[in-house]
Amino acid sequence: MISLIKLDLWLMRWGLLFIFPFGLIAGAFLYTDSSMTGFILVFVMDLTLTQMDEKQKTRRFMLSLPLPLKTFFQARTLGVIFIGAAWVLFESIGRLIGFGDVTFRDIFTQSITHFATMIVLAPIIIAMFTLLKHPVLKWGLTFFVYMATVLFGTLLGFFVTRFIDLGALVYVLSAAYLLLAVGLCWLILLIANGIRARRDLV
Amino acid sequence: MPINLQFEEVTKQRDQFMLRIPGIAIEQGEILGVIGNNGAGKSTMIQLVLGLIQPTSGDIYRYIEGELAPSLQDWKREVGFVFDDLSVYEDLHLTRLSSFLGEIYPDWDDTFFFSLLEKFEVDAKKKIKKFSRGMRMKAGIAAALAHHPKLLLLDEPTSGLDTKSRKQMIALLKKEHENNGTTIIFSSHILSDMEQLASSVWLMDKGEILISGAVEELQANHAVAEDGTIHKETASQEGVRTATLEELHDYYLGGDVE
Repeated sequence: MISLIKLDLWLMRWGLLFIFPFGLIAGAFLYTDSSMTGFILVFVMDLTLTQMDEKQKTRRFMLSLPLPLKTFFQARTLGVIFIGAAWVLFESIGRLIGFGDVTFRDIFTQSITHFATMIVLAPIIIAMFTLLKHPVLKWGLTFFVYMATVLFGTLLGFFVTRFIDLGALVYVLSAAYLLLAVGLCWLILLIANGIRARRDLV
Repeated sequence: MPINLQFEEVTKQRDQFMLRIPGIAIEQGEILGVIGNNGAGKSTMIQLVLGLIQPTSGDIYRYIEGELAPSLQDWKREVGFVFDDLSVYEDLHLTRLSSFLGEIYPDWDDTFFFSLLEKFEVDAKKKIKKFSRGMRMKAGIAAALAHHPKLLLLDEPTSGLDTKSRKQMIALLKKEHENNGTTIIFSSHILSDMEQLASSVWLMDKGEILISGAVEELQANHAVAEDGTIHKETASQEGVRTATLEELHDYYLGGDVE
């Protein structure tokens, strides 16, 4: 699995270079509570990697390697989540630099709620874009699910941030939101791998 | 000889196409040549063996050193494969590909991989997208051999190769077979390669295996009369000789291939 994650990160190496400066700039100058840049980044990275598999016809070679089938989805999800985490981190640092009045609690809550949405977004886009064959369904449904996930994620995020002035409760709610996202991510991967294992791979 | 692969009445349906492989075993150390025109089912058979597609019915049993492999993944560690093109991420250099495959195959031999590339005159520092098809095939063959597999699955391995490279590859496969007892299953349209390498053949057409067996035995059981007609009998009479693989191909599948 580690070798697959490393390969995916290597394939995205030029994109990764941009995350550092742009994350800082976006956090320092362009940040709003409903900032979507991180979600778009995860969506684009998911699509880029999956499209690369398709256009360069790499699946036959990669899936012939002695690796368990489930590791392909898992590794890609973790790779993209890592990029999402890097974005959230740099954006938060940018916020600290650009907005002097921002509190640690604000940054923590926003970062965790954004990151939790990314954790759900990454596997669902990878799975749908890989498993759906019909081009219209593939693009249409994937984009719809992206919008729906971001909408629900943002709504839950707003719900959590409403408790920001109630002390420790906001940390508890953020942690619960994060756990829920991890659980959903695991469930999505389980279902996606279950579907994939029953089908022809090439 | 221990068995390497065992097919048990395997079928695979894909749209109108149906592949049928009866109960048949491939022994360790066998070199099986699979001959057939386009659409015969050669690639489908290789994809079934690698677990890339599921059989519609029947089973495939995979063995390591005569023992049933505990999992497909364990079995694949002992297998090298070459498809009709090296389809990996085009941005990779072969040095990067080697370090990636080195993490996956426990027996990956970096030195052997780069020595093969040098022998084939393939630049390991170039990106794969810069290679010609022949170069990609050579790189694919080097990658398939570099972990000293017990079984090699080669789907049209000589397509895109020039005569010199084809000869090099055939010699290399022979050497690998002699030194390590590697089982080789390869499909090809080029019958001269088959004659040089294969110990047994499957002649396939439209998903069916028309004839199978040891090359010498099949040739001996098909007699060619002076007028060139082929008869299913041993060449015992004077003026009658055994059939070549090309004649067998033409007899069962029709038409020239090379």
